[in-house]
Amino acid sequence: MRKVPSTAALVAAPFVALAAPLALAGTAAASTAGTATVSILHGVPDTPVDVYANGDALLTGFTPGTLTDPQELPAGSYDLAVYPAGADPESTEPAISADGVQVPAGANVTVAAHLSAEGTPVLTPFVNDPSDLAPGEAELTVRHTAAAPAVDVRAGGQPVLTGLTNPNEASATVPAGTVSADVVLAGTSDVAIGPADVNLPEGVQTIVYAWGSAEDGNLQLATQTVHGGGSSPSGVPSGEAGLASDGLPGWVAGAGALALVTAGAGLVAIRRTQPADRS
Amino acid sequence: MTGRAQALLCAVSALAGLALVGAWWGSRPAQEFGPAAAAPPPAAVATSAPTPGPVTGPDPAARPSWTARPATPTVPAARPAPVGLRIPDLGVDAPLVDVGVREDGAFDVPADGDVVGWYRWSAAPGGEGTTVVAGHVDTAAAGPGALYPLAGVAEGARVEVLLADGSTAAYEVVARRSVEKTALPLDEVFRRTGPHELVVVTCGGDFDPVTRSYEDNVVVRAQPVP
Repeated sequence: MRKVPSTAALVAAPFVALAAPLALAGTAAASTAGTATVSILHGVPDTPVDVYANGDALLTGFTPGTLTDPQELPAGSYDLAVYPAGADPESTEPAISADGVQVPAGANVTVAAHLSAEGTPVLTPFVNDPSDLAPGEAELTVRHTAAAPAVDVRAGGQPVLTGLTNPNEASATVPAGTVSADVVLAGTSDVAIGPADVNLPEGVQTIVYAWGSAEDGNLQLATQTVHGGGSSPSGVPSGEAGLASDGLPGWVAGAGALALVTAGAGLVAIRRTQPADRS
Repeated sequence: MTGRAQALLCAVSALAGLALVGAWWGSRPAQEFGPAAAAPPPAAVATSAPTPGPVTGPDPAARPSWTARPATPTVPAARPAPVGLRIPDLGVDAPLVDVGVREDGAFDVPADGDVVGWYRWSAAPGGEGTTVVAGHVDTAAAGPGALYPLAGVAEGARVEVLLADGSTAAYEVVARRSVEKTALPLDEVFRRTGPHELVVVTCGGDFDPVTRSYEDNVVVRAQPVP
């Protein structure tokens, strides 16, 4: 098991109307050339929202529990603001905002609007970085984005990831297939979410978000898949006798050509000798 | 030597020459056809320069619409596994078994040349990406394998994959290529995303009697037809 404190490279998640600068994957943060791949997840229960970036509406009528398809965005700095759906951004305080979110070139990022452990709406950018997988393997990543205490994640009743807290993530490499997953309060067998069948395709990173609020009894799961970590067979060895070898070797054609030339030369010689025979 | 004997010798020589050249010509590998690989799936969105605006930084709203989908975990219905491969034009009719990789990471092609292997981590017929099957062109033990005639398959030839539920997935050959084994485009053959295709692989090209292996892979791509 590999545990990634996802926000180590990301500065603390900003709280309501708090303009905290965020840096994604620090090293590339200064880069503004190129593009980044960005998805947005809505994990705040009950409230459809409009998402604004740099003052323009990016996504309107965005409903809880939905995820956008990945989009290529120019790398750079984004001021993000989330308003209740239909609100006028001129006269309304944003429900969540984060200024100066750095999206570096080449990064694959999911920005999640979700509740903090205490139940405050926040925006957290997660870097999607699939691990290298051997044939037959899948990667399971779980991101704790729920107003809930530390949790363990179980697959088929067995703990796979333990002690996960909001807004962190943890990953494990598991055999590909469908598992029955549930989320329990850390160190207990008190089921908080699930069980739910989760498909873990081979060679793919499947990211499971635990979201909602324990207090409000609406904890649930959302999933996202990221390709790129899978591997293929190294080759296809499929013959061992040489019966299908590519054609006959070149010397066969050479010998044939030689025989033809000889025959031609012989004919010429016969023609030349024929008049002598007649005389 | 008499003129008649000379003429006879010339005729024999000419016939032998024609036979040798003809045999060589006839044994040349068939011409390849079709594109090497399916076009890569287009990027999600074309990128363009950010639109200048009153605010600094790029303008993501200039992008085409964002599509949001429910992210509730779903388990797609399992597709039936392939259990048989038929290429009527070539007389190929072989059982398919599901295989993985060998210890060295290579495709675990069934040792029995009469059986063709379906790479179990590739798509089942109809799924996203490629369904990859491979069989021995020949084996030391039993001679020609089920895919022995594959290098001669013609464009447009019909390929049928029998499925575990008794149905058949039909394909039409769109490309046949000989590729040096070291240059086999693994990411294209074993493609996880994009349009569905069937890829049939065997060996071909020059045979190295020392390593007892062929230098090339014969790669046939087929697209689904109704």
